[in-house]
Amino acid sequence: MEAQLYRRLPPEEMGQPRLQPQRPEEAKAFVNAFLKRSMPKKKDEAIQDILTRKAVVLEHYSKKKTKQKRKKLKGFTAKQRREMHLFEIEPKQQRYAIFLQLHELWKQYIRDLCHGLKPDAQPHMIQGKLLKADLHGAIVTVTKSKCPSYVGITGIILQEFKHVFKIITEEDKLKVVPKLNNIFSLEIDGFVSYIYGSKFQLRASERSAKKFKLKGTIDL
Amino acid sequence: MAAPVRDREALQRLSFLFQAAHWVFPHSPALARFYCSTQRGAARRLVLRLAPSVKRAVCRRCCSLLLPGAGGSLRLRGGGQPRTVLRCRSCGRSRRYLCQQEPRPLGEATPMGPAPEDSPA
Repeated sequence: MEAQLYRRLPPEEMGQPRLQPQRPEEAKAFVNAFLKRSMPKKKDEAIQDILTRKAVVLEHYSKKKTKQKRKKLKGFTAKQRREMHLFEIEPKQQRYAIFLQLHELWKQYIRDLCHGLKPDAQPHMIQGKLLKADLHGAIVTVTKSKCPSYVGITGIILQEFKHVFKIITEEDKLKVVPKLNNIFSLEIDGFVSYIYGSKFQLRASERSAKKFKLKGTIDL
Repeated sequence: MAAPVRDREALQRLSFLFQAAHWVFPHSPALARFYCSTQRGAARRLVLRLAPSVKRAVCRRCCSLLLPGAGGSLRLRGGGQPRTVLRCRSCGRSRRYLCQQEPRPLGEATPMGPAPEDSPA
């Protein structure tokens, strides 16, 4: 069907006057005359000007910039980060005994930070330093809590996230304890301090940079 | 000087994290990675300078500890100027450094690496 449509016309029909193919000069003259008729308001010279100089913009393509590729190379997608970072109890050998050594290291660090055991007064200073100190490796107990099942959990802090502590207990269980509405007690060399978890909802790295102000009630 | 006083606590914290990461590394490289990323985050917040030896021991991309035996590989590429190439095994990122002596004026206290007695044998 299409082959018949697109075939050349036989010469008999070509002979008729109305289907004469135009030559290029005639075509130009035709276009000019047509335009002049359709734009009667402007002068002839203006029309000539427009026709010769201005280019008619038919379509406009803008290139899409491929900058997205670069960013992903340096960073990581959240998915990849998730499967790598977190501490999976890979071998169940993560015994409490191993982390006791980490606790020793932590004790040394805190002693060094406070310059001595308990120089009489100055609980103020020590508290201030504890706020900025790092808690990884500290032995911590949940003393008060809005949820009674959390009370009494004791263990070494392995990881500190924004809203949560990951604690390993003596029975080698990894417990995820939320900070909100919980009071933890921390003991060093006979010096006990309480951490109000609700005020501590910060990532570990951000806590060292934060100034703490007293807002609202401290209690549960 | 009054300036390093504030920093000293923070720097102690950073060095503690670094030592702790070295300590935990044989048991769980993932935990070491966590500690190193906390350290880097804290240093970034407080805009602290880390000693280049400390910086190079932590992979920039995935924050894992690079110990030439276990975490990353260390190669020397020759040429006119020999370069050390550190390659992280977990994320495959490599860094090149010129072998240079570093006579840096350590005016400020910088976090030091772990003492040799501390690491578990």
